[in-house]
Amino acid sequence: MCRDWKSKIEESYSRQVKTIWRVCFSYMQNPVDTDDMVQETFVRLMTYSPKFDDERQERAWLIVTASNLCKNALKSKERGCESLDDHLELAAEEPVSENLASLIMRLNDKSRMIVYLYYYEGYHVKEIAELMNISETMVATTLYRARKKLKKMLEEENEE
Amino acid sequence: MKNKKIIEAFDQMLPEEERHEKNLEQIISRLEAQGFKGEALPSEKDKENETGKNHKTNTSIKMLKRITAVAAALIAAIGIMFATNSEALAGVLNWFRHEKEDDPNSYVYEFKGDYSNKKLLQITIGWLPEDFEGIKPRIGDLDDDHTFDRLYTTNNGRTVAFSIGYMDRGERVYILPEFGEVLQSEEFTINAKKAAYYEDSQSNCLFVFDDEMGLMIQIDANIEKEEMIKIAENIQYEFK
Repeated sequence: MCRDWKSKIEESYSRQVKTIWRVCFSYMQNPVDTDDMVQETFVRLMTYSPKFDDERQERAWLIVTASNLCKNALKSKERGCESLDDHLELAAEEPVSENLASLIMRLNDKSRMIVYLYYYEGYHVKEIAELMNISETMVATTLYRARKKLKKMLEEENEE
Repeated sequence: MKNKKIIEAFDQMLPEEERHEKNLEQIISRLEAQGFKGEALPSEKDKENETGKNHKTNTSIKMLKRITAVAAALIAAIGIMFATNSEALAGVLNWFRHEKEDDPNSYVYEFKGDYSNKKLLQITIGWLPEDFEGIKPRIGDLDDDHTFDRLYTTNNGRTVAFSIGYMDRGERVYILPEFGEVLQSEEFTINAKKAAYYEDSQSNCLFVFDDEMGLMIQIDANIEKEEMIKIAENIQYEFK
């Protein structure tokens, strides 16, 4: 039995950790807190042991759980003072994408998450609405605003 | 709709593989320390509301709250504005707001009108922007929460949603908007009815208050203000 659950967590973890790390980092914006949230998410996965039909359902469950844990953590404590520069130590060297990464991090939590789920994970508006407990209107509107904001920030960056 | 540049940007947030491996070790250590044997722990059932399991159950409630959320903020705002305007006194008397004691993020609105004998028969959306072609509005009865919602969307991400509710006698709870602060608010009249335009960092909202009919129309959209006003100007409704 012991061997079984360890294999199970290792498999789930290897499948989903990158997605969950990005989700948690989007909220927590520092690697230390992100580690805590990622760990807690996978601990919940094992101790709650929900049943999934497929990997996509598993990923959706983990995204919702990770988001909720992060939001609760942010509510319950004052966050540390790590700067955006600290976060960007993680960034690669490609200049355009590095710029975009820093701009994405300047979006508010919900906008950033919607942009991630839509443009990275490829979820549809309806699916995102269900994942985040918000209306489809809000998802579509947020995407529209986020695109507009990113475009404006990119233009301002290029002017400087 | 995946986007290569966005994907690259998010991938840069990822740490070295070694960090993931250390996290996995710690997860396993924590589970072992909890005495985890591979089956769900009964106490974890209490944490359902933090997991993904129940999120669908709450979706309809959250959607309703969202639809009415911005309306609440605006009603509060224009309630104050109208309170200083004697010409609009009748509007103020149709509703007032007080805060909900056990939830700082909620307001309770009390509507003073009595429109219980009225029944919405038909709503006609007389005009929509050209790119909303091929979508015919379907009309339904007001539901138990006196809210009616129809979503119109096009391929380019422009969205319009309608909500219509009676300003009826009784108490209704609204949740404050989740996003940012009001960037712009403006009051005017549309077809001789009080109207207010509201914009925050995420959406545009236009409200029309029909004091005579006791009806509030909300248009929540990401289109231009002028288009929203034209939509509102061309909405028609009749009662039984």
